Amino acid sequence: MGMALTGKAVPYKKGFGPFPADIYNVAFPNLYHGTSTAESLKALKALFKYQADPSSIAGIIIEPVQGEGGFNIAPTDFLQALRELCDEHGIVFIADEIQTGFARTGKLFALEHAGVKADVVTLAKGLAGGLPLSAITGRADIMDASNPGGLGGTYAGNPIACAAAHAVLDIIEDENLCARANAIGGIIQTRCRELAGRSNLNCIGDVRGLGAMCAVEFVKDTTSGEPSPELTAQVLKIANERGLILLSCGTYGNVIRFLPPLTASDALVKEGMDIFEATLNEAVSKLQ
Amino acid sequence: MTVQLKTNDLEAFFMPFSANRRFKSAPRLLASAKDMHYFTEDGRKILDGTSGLWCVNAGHCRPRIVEAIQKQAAELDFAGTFQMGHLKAFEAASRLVNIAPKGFDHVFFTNSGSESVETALKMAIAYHRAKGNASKVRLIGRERGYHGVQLRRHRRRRHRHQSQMVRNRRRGRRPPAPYA
Repeated sequence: MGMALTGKAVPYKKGFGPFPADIYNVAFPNLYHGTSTAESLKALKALFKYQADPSSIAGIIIEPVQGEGGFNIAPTDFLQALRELCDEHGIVFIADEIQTGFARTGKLFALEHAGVKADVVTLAKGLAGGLPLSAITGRADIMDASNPGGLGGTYAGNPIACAAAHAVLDIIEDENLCARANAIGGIIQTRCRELAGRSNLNCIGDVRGLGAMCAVEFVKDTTSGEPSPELTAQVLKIANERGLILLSCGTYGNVIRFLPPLTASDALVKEGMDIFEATLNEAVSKLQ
Repeated sequence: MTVQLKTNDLEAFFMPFSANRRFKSAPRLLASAKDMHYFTEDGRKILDGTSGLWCVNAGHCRPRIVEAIQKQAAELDFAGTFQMGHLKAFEAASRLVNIAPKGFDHVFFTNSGSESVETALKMAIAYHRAKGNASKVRLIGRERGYHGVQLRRHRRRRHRHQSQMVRNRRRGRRPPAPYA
């Protein structure tokens, strides 16, 4: 079901399937690409009218910041409207905080930025410092409804991963990593916006981020806004050669994401951004 | 027995979300990590701008985390949580509930984000069924959303071949190999 709900066909769904029926994907707000909150909500209401009556919807799942999709941030008014719609129709609101959780966006959980509460939250990644521990947390009346013994997994809650999780949560608390995430994000976004303003780098379409979850979207030129996966691939390759690991994302593979450890010093973040700047200059000149 | 790995021994591992052939023709192998850096097999230092697929928000090989893992591995390496338990899981769940939004009372552990998503969806469906709304089974995601790699298919009818096998068994007919 998770794969069916994933809204990125290549590489995740291509060649697999058939997928289960009764699963729908609706537009996500994306101001840079021209989809507003109003349009996104209109698409959802159209789904309710033409395809699936809301009384038949069990749950809506959403990432507060889409990861693979390109670090698209869900606007506060959108999340609030979604909460109201779920309350109106008795739909379970599931927040997928697998990438955004545990201080990454400057709050413990990204949904806190919007002041909206989900019914169930999925968690993973930063929970146990790389050991395989993931979780679901939510309202007891929802979680208790499953048949006794119906849900489980052999390694679930294993002691070593739990011990790691405790140590990670201690560090998040003791070292105030939420505040660190905001500081790190500020350094990254300030530098990226400065680079975007340079006349020789007419290739940065958008800079966006929440806390230390930041991204840059590369385009062929800022007038057309046409995605440039070619430049993105060059940047990843050259960055690695210069000693910096980065990752891409986005439907067109043209978004670079910045996710440094939240314990990185200002000096190290700036060192990383220096490498990124040199990388970008070299990549742009190679493609000219 | 330790296996000495040569470059052409990379074949066995089918790497996830990777262009396997391309990688294995020019492998990039990491040997160690410390704080914000990875180190390659030949000693090159690389800044990790991804926090290890954002699992290592607290930094690589932090002594506090390493010591917690070492201590636990020496004390209780593994215990299942089916009808028995160990305190670490209860303590971890309590900590998560304490920092989660008010009104979140339970934690269910899985091993990956994909499993968390799959289980959350099952919980949503089971919740509605328990409330008497068995027709509430549809799910909505977002374009450009990513929710993992689980592929669960609804099967409304048994496969015709399997149905025939059940009928044969009831009539005392032995199923052919390899099903026998």
